[in-house]
Amino acid sequence: MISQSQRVACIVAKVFAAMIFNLHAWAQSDVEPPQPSAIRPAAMEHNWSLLLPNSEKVSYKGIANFDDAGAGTMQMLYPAPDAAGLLAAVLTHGFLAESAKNSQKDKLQQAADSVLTPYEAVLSGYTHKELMQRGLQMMASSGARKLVDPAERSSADWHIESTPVFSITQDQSAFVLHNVISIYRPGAASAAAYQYTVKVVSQPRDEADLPAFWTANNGEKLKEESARLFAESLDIALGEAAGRQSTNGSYRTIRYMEGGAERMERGLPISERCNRVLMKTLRDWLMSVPTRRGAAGAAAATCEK
Amino acid sequence: MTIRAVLWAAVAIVLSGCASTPQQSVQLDQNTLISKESRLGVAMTALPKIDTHLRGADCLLCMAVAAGMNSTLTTYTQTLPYEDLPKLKNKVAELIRKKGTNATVIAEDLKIDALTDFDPKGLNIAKKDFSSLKGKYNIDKLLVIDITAIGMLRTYSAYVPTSDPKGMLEGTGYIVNLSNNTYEWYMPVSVVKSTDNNWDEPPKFPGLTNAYFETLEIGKDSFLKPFE
Repeated sequence: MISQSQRVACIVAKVFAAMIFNLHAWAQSDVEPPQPSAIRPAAMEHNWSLLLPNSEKVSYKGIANFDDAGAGTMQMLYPAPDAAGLLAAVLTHGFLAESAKNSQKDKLQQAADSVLTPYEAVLSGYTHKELMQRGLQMMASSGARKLVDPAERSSADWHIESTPVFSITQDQSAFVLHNVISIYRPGAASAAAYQYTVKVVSQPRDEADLPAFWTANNGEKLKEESARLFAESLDIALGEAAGRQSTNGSYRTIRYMEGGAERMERGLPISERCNRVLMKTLRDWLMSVPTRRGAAGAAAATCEK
Repeated sequence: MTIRAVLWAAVAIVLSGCASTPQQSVQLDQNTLISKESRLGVAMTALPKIDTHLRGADCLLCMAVAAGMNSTLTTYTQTLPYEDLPKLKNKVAELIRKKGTNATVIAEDLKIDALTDFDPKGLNIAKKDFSSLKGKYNIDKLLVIDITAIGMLRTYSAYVPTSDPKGMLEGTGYIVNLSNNTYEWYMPVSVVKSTDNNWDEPPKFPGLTNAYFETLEIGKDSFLKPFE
């Protein structure tokens, strides 16, 4: 037999649980990246076109570290004369805590973005058109390809839609590309046949003055490195669509260099070559990373395209 | 007046009894490891259950609400593996042997709670009496890896989460000289790693799973690094 007080306690617990669960749900505003569709061989040796994005400028940001984000444990005494007052107090507390969390994350990201300051002049003039034209020339995949405006898409070609976002490490020695790539069959304008999220981390550079290195000659090295990562991401996506890549072994924790810092990613290795690993991550993203700092001498020459 | 003084004295005694100075880090003297005469045992305590840790949700109702909110994550976290963490003592012993010390891996889990308290207490003196292990394992010093928490950490203020969940590992590494029960090395380890993206991806939580394995690697590195 459940007593009245037990019943009330139970209801209060359920109400609080539901209420806080909702608060928690509001926090999940990030849109989950699209997952890849089933992998089937694609006839990518045919002509294909890369569609120019609507936005003109290429997106860059600083890599932020959220390990210390959060307010820690704090005691809270609720001014609650009755159950309704307690609910209102908890709701208010939840709202304030959530706002504080989001504000803190924004501040951490803003602080991380300040690493871009020396590059503003170069980045303000770097367009998707230039990035993609450079990238197409650097690709290893065969097949006729061209860059087209979405309004000019031909129903006879395969089309690739790409949303590249670049990040720079805080030590400024490396770039990271996060690219969502959709591949459309000829004549299919809405439903992508394949969709991949590809992440490519560049080899860290050992230069005494990195801002000067990247921005020299109107940012030629920065533009070249970005285009190289972009080309690699397209090659990886096309290879996956063509069924040329298969995972081997089981999941393992793979160590890699993100600038001067060692990072780890849990993944299924696909290939290992020239101090780089291509893997499929737990999110089913394709990820290409340098396993250690630059290859030397003849090995480097062989690996450089 | 006398009663009041006695009461204040009692309060002071109780409060001072509660206060204990936390053990500070003790740097490892590399000479400790190149003594060929010294026999070093390397042991681990039993690994804790891989779980979510909801710190700050202290009242009973807060705990219930926090546990309910994170039940899917908790169920998933409890399925994560230790990987090669149980072999950490073997890796530490291997590194120590390379420095010339006779290191023996103690196969069984060390039960520190079963040891008696050591007296006198003091700076860099172990609180438990490890001396009985000298004869038991035929060693002069004991290196202990004591991992106390592993899994996911989320902080709370009563009912409300104040952080996203993160991967976490906590523990301590220390060497006790069994002839005088003093620490020759003492190193607390606390690793917390966040996801690089959205964390709430049930049922497999790939971002948090990655953070967990990253924490595991960094944690192992922390215990190995002093002996490299």
